Amino acid sequence: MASILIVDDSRFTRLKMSEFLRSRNFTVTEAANGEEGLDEYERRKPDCIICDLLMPKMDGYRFLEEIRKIDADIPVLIVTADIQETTKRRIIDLGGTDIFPKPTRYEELLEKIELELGKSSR
Amino acid sequence: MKPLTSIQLDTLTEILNIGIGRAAHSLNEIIGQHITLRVPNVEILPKDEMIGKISELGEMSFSSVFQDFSGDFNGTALLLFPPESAVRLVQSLTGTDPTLEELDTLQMGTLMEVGNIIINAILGTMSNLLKCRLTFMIPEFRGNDPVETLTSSFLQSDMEGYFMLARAFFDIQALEIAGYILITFEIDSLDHIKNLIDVHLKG
Repeated sequence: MASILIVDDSRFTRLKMSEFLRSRNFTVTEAANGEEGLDEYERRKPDCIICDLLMPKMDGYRFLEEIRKIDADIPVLIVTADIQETTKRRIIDLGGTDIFPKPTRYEELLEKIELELGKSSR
Repeated sequence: MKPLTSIQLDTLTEILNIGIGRAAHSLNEIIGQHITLRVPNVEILPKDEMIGKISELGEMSFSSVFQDFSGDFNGTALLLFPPESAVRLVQSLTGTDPTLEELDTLQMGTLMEVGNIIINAILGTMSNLLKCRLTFMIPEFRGNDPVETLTSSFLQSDMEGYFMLARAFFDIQALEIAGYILITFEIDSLDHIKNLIDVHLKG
């Protein structure tokens, strides 16, 4: 059973996304900001990360930078309300795997998760 | 002399209209109900006139999600709900049944998330179409503020000069939810926004 880490300061988003992913048989852990996300990554070594951008303590950009220093391969899917093209480019430059707008279409997110997990050797 | 020509103001209004359409689409996806929007009213105003326009909302109190942004433009976007609308929105999204006084962190967080999505839909669209860049702060929620609290925060700010004020009204009839979207930003340089609009017009 593959595991996914959700990093988002919105409890509402974490709740809805976790419900959906658990219903699809993923193990899900959660973190409310980038700092907690790094701790959870070390503790759980997830197979995939879903991450918001705008968060207190450590935002998604910084989290992505830090994760990529320690894990070049883990899929990191950014989910954000920020739809600016400049944001997309920045995420890709930082090593984000893909970017999904909020509100998130969970089936599309799932397709991407399954594609990335199918590619990886985790 | 008007700060923007008619065509420039029309273009800016249309850009915001596109953004509001995107916001309505997002809200529809979240709530699953039809959203009715009015075309935004967009004006370029000196600070005291801008505050006067906001005061036209009247004497009622609002629950608000507000989000500051900076970059090519520095400003604030607000989503304003009469308190009973805020409660109904929380009910429809979370299945809980709070009063405004009882809103817990999950419920307030839900309103902030919705506000974040709507505000980013509008301003992100504007940023993409005008090829500029904005950085958003984390949104905040306020439970029950009279309009004069909103206007006093603008009065106290040391921003001067011209401001863009966009006002839009939306309602979700099936759920008896209604609200306002207010976006205001300081225009450091009228030439800057004119250039951005003119470049957009040329395509």
